[in-house]
Amino acid sequence: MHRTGIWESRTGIALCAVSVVLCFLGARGVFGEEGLSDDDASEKAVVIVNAGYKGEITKGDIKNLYMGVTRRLPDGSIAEVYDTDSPQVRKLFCESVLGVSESYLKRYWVKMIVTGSAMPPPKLAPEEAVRTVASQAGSLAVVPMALAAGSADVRIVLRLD
Amino acid sequence: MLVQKIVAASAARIVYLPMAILALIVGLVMFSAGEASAESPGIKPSVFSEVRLIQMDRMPQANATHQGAGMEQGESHDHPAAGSHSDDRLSFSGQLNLILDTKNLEISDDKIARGHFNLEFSDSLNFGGDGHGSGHLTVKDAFVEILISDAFNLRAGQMLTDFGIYNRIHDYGVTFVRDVPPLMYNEEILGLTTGDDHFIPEFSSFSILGRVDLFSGFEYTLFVGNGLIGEDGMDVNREKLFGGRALLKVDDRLAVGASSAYSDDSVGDLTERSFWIGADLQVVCGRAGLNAELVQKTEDEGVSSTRAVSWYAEAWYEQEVGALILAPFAGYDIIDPDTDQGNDTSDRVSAGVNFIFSPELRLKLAHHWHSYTRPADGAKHDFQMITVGLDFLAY
Repeated sequence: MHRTGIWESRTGIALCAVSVVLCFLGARGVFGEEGLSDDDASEKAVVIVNAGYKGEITKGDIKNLYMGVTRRLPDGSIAEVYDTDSPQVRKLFCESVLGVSESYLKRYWVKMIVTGSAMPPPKLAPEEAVRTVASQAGSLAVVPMALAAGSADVRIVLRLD
Repeated sequence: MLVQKIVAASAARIVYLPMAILALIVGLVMFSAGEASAESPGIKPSVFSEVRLIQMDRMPQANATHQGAGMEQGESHDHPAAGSHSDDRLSFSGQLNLILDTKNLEISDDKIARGHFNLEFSDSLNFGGDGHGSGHLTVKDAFVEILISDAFNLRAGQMLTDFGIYNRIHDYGVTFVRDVPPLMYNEEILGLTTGDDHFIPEFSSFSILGRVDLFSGFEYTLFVGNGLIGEDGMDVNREKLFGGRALLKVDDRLAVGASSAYSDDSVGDLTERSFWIGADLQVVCGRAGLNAELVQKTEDEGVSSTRAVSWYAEAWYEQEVGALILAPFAGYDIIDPDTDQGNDTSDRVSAGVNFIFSPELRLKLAHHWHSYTRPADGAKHDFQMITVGLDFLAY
């Protein structure tokens, strides 16, 4: 019986064709453009903590909290961490504090979810984030700098430039 | 011809259809819910689904009773492939995982409790044979975790054992570049069992885990398994085990792990003890990455002992092409079910490419070259597979 080799088959040819088409579409930006221009990302941001927390929080501590490595503040108390839904602030935060791209961070959280290790911080709108941190002990959020200045119940622990 | 095969197989087995529809509906609802679900209180759901198409260039000739590569002694299955002629075969399989995570529940000023539940539906259709598939409903994870401190936490329930890299993740396509599991894990593809059911102790039931600041982080897990329940509801006395894992993250680019487990499955006068030891490596260097894992299993059956070894490595390189990430990869697997016997190894070379449209959606194309040895008679079979996988995760 004549046997058709797998690469001689139509399947192999079709897969090669699909690969070429997908690369072409990707190069043309058909799947959407991620990220923002430098102008869009120029908004300054800060990381705030509830004013009731008096201890120091380093950039490394913030990274560990936002990457799900720890769920505690440096004094051992439980932290509630909130992400931002502002694309500009989020891009700045990922690059300057976490040291990773947004794309990498998303894939990182996929792995954390499927292994049951941790859940990503919930995203809040900037105004809601300030209100939540002001009212919740041990909570942190990343918000635009202009919003943080108006609340006495939050304290800035890191400035992002 | 292919359409006829698909219609015939679909008529013979339609279990996959409702599962596929369910996956689609739940996935779309989750995807459209988007970030809103992140703010909802209580339980946070995630959905993972994978659809995979496999074409095998020929089915290895088999005897009336086919024994898979890694099957345990005394185990055998009648396969639809038995006595089949060499022929192209096609398989269409699907998997849906529903993951539920509770939000952190504060049980005291410094302690948190959380729950994690992962239910998996899977089914497959084989075309070109008799349409046989294997539908499963499996609880992968169902545990409660008490977070006492960063260095000391407790988990209880059923969980995938924290042994090596792959077992904790299992067959989640979105986190691995290949869409077939390493040969050290059992998978039945088109009636051919390519791995070993018990090469790795799959489940454990209680663990202590934590992390301390050493380099970029030192993580440990100590686990205990209380065994599995057979299909008849009886304790099959398998995987009663204890063991542990240590993972040292040297920096953000390099992690080195070591795992070990011991199991005593002896029943009455029948002695069966198993000891596993493993090492693994995870490297990310710029856009390139490497996962490698080595496991040795020693089985002591009183009068004799068997040592089996298996390892795999997969490497990839990610290149952005517009908004698409292209990730060509290559991988190699080998399993030697008895190191004292020559000529009984099976191995596989894989090469392909991932099209990562977003972190939640990727398409995988791969070609696998198998060199397969059937332990029952040492018969050698070389065959090839093309796999097309589509993975989707909504969270």
